Amino acid sequence: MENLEQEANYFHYCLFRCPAPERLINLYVQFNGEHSQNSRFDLNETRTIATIVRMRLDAVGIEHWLRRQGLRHLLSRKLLLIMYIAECDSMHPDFRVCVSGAVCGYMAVVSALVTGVKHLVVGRIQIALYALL
Amino acid sequence: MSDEFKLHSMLYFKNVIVGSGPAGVAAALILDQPGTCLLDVGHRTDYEFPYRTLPEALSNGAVRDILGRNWETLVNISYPLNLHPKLRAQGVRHAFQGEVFEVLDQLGRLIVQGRGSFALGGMANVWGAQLLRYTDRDIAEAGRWLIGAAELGPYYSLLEAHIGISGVCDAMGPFLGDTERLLPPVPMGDAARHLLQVYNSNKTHIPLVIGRPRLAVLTQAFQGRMPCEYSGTEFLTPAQTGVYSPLVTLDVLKSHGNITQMTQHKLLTYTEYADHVDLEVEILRTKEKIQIRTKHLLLGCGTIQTAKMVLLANQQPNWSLPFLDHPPTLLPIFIPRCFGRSEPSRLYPVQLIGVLSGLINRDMISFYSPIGMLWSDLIPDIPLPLNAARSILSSMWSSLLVVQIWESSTNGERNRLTVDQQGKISIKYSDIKPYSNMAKLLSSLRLLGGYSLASLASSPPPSWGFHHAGTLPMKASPSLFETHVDGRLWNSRRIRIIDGSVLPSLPAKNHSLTIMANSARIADITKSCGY
Repeated sequence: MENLEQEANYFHYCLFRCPAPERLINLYVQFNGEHSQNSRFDLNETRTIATIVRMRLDAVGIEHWLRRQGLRHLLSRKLLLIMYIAECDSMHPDFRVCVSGAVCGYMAVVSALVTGVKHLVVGRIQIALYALL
Repeated sequence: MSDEFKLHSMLYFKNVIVGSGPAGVAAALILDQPGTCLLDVGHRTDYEFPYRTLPEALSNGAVRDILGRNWETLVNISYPLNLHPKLRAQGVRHAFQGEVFEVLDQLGRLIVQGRGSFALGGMANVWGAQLLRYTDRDIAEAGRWLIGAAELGPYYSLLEAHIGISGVCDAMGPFLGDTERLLPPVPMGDAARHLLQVYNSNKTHIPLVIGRPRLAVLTQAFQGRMPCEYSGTEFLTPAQTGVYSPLVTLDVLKSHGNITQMTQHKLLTYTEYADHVDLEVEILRTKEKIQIRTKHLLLGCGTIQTAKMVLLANQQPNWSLPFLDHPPTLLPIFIPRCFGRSEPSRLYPVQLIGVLSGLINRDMISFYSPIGMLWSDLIPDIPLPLNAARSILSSMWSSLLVVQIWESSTNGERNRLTVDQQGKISIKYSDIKPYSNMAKLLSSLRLLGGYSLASLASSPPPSWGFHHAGTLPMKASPSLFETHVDGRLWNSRRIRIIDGSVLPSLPAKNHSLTIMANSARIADITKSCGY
């Protein structure tokens, strides 16, 4: 339970750069509790999650490289769960706010690309450094 | 003998239609007279989404209403694309709780498990409402049809007048056919409007024809029905206001009071005799079995369920039947001219329809606004870290369209459906190839100001779009497990197949309206057959 709360907090921070609302943490824990019996956990993937949270690694950068078709990586599943809850939770009013104006729109795209590339580089290095699978 | 009475403990009807989906209700419209029974399992949902629109639900923090009491919507967190996004939510689950079937690849490995529909109104509770005519060219391209657009024409017209079709006569007119009395088209978002404007000013130089779709969506009040509210809840609730579904026809038939509607009844099997057909039917509430006798049985349970019923009634499990399906391809496109515009609030998802020109076999290209989708559904498809992908969406949302391509089904004879001794349904697909005209489509879209990459295209698993057909195809001289042009099974006088099973091939076009028109045609033949 405590691990799940820690996980939710850290993954939320990686995605949104702010602390997770308590309601989101509760829903995250609730989902994991209700689905743990039906889920198959890969030992390597579980270890990867533990390492990322413990070492405070770049979860979103790492996730991109571990993302795959078919059964998703456990890290993808956990980050996506936070995404879905955040989107549907009014505690995240800015989740679906659209940038207004063409100039701002282009600037936001460029800024997102730069941020994305930075995460990709850090994620790739950390995967190699910590032998994450 | 009157057309409807109780004989000892047996009910008697002149006509029994099984299934309340598009095929069943179209036949019922023609056979709307005393002595006709419409029999159906008739699942309904007991869940009602408590918000009028998706933005309202999001701003109220309705996490469990959107994601489901049992987190149903999150089923794709583990396996993306296994289930059509329209089938995930709690409120629509009842639409696909029918027969389970397994989809296998050519080596016999399980790709995905699907389910048919036992819902009142069938899978059409969640359809996209593109109700399109087949033209003679469609039928010629697909081949093997024994009837032409002229035979279906009167039934198309009758159904369109009943349903209410919105759209306009534009460049896509020759592809879409001669729908009479179109209602005004659905509202257009910025992205679709931009593509259409560029197309209209340069159309001669672009190897792609685009236009407004024909939709069973009411843009104004029509025959006592309210117009569509464009609530953005298409992925959360079935049978939307202003969007036609067979439930509309069931209500009309009920108001006429001619037909006996028996829901919560499941046809178990049937036996044909010289002058009647006996049905064994289970009342689902009580598990009681009853006998129904009829002169004419019209089976419209859906391609997969009807095939199973016919195989088992003829004691031929393990026989393999052909199976047609449209292989869809999905492709997101971005229109940079629309970057940074505000999120459109009231749209119907289907915005445009198109077809590449210069091809012998045309593919149908639908342009969807992702209006009813959660951003989280799309974010993992953007090849960037999740946080960057969300930022990108915030500036691109109004400039994003999702293109869905339906190819004509050319591999139907090689896909095979079987039912084993235990009643388990398996559909083995032949090789599944990626969309072959992608380069031409991408270059055409670029000319319109829409950009994408072939690597962003995805091919959902077979059977994903529920465009099934062709298990009991119509033939001039039908042999085992084929049908006559009038819908009768090869060995039958009184049992007719009215759903997609009888279509001999699938043009690259939504086949729902054609299933309905063909069902109405067969019902009309039944009505006047003289026995």
